[in-house]
Amino acid sequence: MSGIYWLASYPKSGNTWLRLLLRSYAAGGAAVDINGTAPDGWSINGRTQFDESIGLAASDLTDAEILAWWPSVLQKWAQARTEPAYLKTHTMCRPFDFTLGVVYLVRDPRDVALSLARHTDRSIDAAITIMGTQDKIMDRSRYRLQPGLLQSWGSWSQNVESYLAPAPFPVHIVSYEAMRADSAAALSGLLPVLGFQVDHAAVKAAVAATALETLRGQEAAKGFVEAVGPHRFFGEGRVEGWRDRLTPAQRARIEADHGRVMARLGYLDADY
Amino acid sequence: MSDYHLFGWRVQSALPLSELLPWRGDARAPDLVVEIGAVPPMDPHLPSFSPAVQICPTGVRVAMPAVASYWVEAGRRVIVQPILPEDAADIRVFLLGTVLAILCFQRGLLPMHASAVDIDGRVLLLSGVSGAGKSTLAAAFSARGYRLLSDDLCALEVREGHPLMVLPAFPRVKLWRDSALHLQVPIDGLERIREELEKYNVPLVEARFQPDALPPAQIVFLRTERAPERPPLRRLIGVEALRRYDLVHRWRLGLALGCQALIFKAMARLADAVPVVEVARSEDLADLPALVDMVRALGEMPRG
Repeated sequence: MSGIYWLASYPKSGNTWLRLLLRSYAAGGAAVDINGTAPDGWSINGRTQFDESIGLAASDLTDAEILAWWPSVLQKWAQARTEPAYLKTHTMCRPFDFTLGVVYLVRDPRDVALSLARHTDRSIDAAITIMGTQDKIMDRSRYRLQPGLLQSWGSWSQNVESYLAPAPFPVHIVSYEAMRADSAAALSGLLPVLGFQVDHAAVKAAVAATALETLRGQEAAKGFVEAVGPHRFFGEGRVEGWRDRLTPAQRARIEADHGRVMARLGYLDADY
Repeated sequence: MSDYHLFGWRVQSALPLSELLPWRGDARAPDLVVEIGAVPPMDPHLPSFSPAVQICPTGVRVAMPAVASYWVEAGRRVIVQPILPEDAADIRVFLLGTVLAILCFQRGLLPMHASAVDIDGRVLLLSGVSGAGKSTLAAAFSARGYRLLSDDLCALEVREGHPLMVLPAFPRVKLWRDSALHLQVPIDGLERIREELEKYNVPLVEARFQPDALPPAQIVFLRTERAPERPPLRRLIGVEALRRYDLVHRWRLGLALGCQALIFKAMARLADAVPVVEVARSEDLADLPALVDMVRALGEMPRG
């Protein structure tokens, strides 16, 4: 059966860690190389894939044209496969009929802001602005050509709500905080949505193989292909790190921008 | 109606093609006619190659919503149905891109996704994925006084019993604003290739364009790396060079058009005749002069 299982999240919410966990699990809990590339080298925001599939160069197209045709690129790719694919995405949910299932990882936006600032080498305030921008599109190419295609992240709230909305395929929501608190339980809970049987010994081994210290150690030794700025990709991964690193004004801004969705997810009391 | 020169063809066009040189050749009948008219509608009974391209028994339809539709027939005739005003650059981007590649396939020429530089009477082909810097590097060669045969798309003539020849396209480079500014190419008054993009049609002066066909000498596949490893240069040998179908402008479309034999034969002859190297470059435009020097020095490497 061909189709796509999505590993979805707003950026800096633990998506890379989840992918490594799954890769290890699929290999029976084996050690993983953080720089091990995707098996067939296909990239969902690769320009070449788009250009060859559509027959036109994305570098001559507008954002709206790329976004309109991107689903057909994915569909063609998915249909040409005999096995389901597992793809990471940070874009908002769209009701593709070739989607088999989704695991959506969500993280407290106050912690996301810290991590996003570090990852993009911007100030925390700039990260908060990105997260609060409606219909935010990243990596668009208006003045220069970006290596990858644009991605429509939306605001943090838009991104989350697109996955909370009813969909014609199963969507399993799991929080980064739950993943940190009990990785084995969280992994066991999401595996069925992705078409895996739950093997508890392999779950345990995969959790051990992808401990944050291990991943950070690998990055320190060899770097990480997905790191973009001057900072390390794998940070402290702290839960509630925002409590001593956000100013009251920054915290207030995030809560003003996203309070309704945060309350919906239990990051704020319902009567915040 | 104006007559233009493109790949050695006489092109008679109802649509003004400001990028092309006027025809200065003999009084032959036009090799290609570009008309303005109604493009046959989509055939719902035929599968589409993509949302933009449908291959029909008598021709190929390319449809750019809100820009224009194109009908490409037998390598000799193109019908353009503009949606934007006829002089919009947006219409010509696709005409001189994918439509031109389809014409090449239909005429038995190999369209290459490469910019072509005349180095001492032979052609340096700069290829690589979109964003690797083909046009920027070609423009940097141009700024050093070299003549270009094409930017982004050039045609290879593959005739039995004749040497391979790279055909000259037209004197224009497409540059994004940041590359143009870095190369000190003034963009004031230049036409944007698309209304919404800061990517410009930069005309080349006559002295910087090579209007004659020349044999290929070297193929360079560019790729960007954040920190290019040393040495940044790798020679591709045998099958590895043969399989670089990304040299072909839209090779999947070429296969869908039934041009497998042309693609395989051309790749085999190229890999046999011309050294192929992969060059890693940084994304930093400040490294361009060193890149020009390195790529230029390839021509002086011993062959074989």
